[in-house]
Amino acid sequence: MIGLISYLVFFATVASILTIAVLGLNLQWGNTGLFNGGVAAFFGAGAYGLILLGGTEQADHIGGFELFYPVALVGGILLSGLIAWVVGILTIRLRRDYLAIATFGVAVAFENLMRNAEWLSGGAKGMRGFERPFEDSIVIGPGGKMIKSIVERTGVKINISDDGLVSIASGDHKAVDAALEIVRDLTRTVEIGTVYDGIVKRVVDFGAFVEVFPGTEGLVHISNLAEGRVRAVTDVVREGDTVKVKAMGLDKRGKLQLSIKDV
Amino acid sequence: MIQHLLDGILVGSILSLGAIGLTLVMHTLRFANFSHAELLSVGAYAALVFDGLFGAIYSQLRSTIEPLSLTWSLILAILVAMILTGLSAILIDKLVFRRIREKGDELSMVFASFGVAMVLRNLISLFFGLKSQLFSNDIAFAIVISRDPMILVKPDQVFVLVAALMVMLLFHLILSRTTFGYALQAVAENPVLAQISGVNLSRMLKMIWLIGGSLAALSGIFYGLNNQINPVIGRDLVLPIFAATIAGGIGSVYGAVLGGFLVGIASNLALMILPSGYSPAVPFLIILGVLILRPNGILGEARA
Repeated sequence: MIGLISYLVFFATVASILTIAVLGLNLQWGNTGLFNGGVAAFFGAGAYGLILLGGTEQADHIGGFELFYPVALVGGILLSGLIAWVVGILTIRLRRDYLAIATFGVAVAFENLMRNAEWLSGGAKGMRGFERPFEDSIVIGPGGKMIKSIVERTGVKINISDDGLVSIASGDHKAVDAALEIVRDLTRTVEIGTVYDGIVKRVVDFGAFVEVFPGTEGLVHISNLAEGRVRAVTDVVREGDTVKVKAMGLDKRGKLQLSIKDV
Repeated sequence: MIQHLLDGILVGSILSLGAIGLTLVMHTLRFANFSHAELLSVGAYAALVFDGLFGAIYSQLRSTIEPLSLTWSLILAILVAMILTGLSAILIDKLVFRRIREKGDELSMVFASFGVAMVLRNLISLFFGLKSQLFSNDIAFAIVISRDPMILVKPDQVFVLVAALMVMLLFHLILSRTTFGYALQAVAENPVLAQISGVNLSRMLKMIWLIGGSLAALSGIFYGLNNQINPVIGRDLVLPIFAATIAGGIGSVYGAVLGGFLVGIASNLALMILPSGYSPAVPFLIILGVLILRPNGILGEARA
């Protein structure tokens, strides 16, 4: 039941996101008759613009202005609008079918550019360094549930400051240690760029799934197994092997990407 | 420089074959057919299947034709794939485009072609998987033409270029020397007038799909020989083929050939100044440039 509801929430979210794009297309195509095959490019430009302006500094691509979320949001919208304006100047007087081809070309060219211009967009790996604005800290938990449960279980006082510093206070050393342990377990995450000793859990056609610590596993894609071309994953690793892996980042779906090649 | 030029001419000949079919269809049926490039994948995969089939039936067909990496079975498979792809283009027209032609406007056709492209691409991915495949696993060694500057050419590439040029020459002869060719040109120029003059329009439309489909198949197979075969060939080549068609002028077969070489050479020469990742943007710039400077293309004529 929870699964169904959370799927419906996910579905409604995506539907509303797409509705916004469709509203724009309806204004343009429905009301003025100007066909736009490049909506996807402007959709992407807004998202890239937001992270460019609002994200933290990254080594592999530009950005890192760390603007306040609503400001970055408006900035992304304006950036996309600016690109659309230039495209409009160039294409608006074309015949209908040529307009369709040219705007479709904008979408294809934008995708190619973003996939290849790593300095700008992080390439196929995508951009990092942007926190989702509405997500609660896992130590606090939804509505403070997690923090209450830690306090109840150990009897300590916990204070979390705005910048994320967790302070634990109690007269009892054991209670502090127990609470610390819980918080550490909760916040134990993979750090990008760190090398871990992992165990190969599963080998598939396109790579190997490696567990970096209990409960957390990531994928070493076949292209990241070794330098050069790897014909079969089993040439390099087998299930149960212990391997050194470097955490490279998260993919589009938030899955951990690991690499043996880059260790 | 010369190496890039040679590669560009080769890619150009492949694009030209694809663009001829697109220019005929776009001019006769008055719509931008975004599914045309998917016929390249259909052709390439059909050739792959029949190559394996023929090789399995008669093992002597599996011998290669020195010094090419081509086998006799692949030559046969190319012919079969061309005909099959042409027939599937007719079938797609019968199932989708003809129905919309009778009721909807040109933009409905454009949308339908987006849909057809997605269906074809995903059907191919479903049956053959997303993995890239090769016609031959033999390593074809390039021949060193000159060491300074370094120029490398593979025998297969020479074959592709010569074969593509011969097919274009053959098509030129058909267009300019036969009654059928005249009728084809007449239909492309003005379908209604051609029909009044006694040309069987629906038969000619079928022929246009057949020719466009088989040339697209040949283009896809040659692309596969030169690179690899995967289900996204169509997605990767749709923009270059459109660029070739538009640059040459929609409706002009010779323009399509010219446009194909122009796009192929420009994309490869761009590699000298741009990182290779950006070369897909070149066809887009060509489309924009041509549409703004010469809206009817280099060899195209304005039409009512």
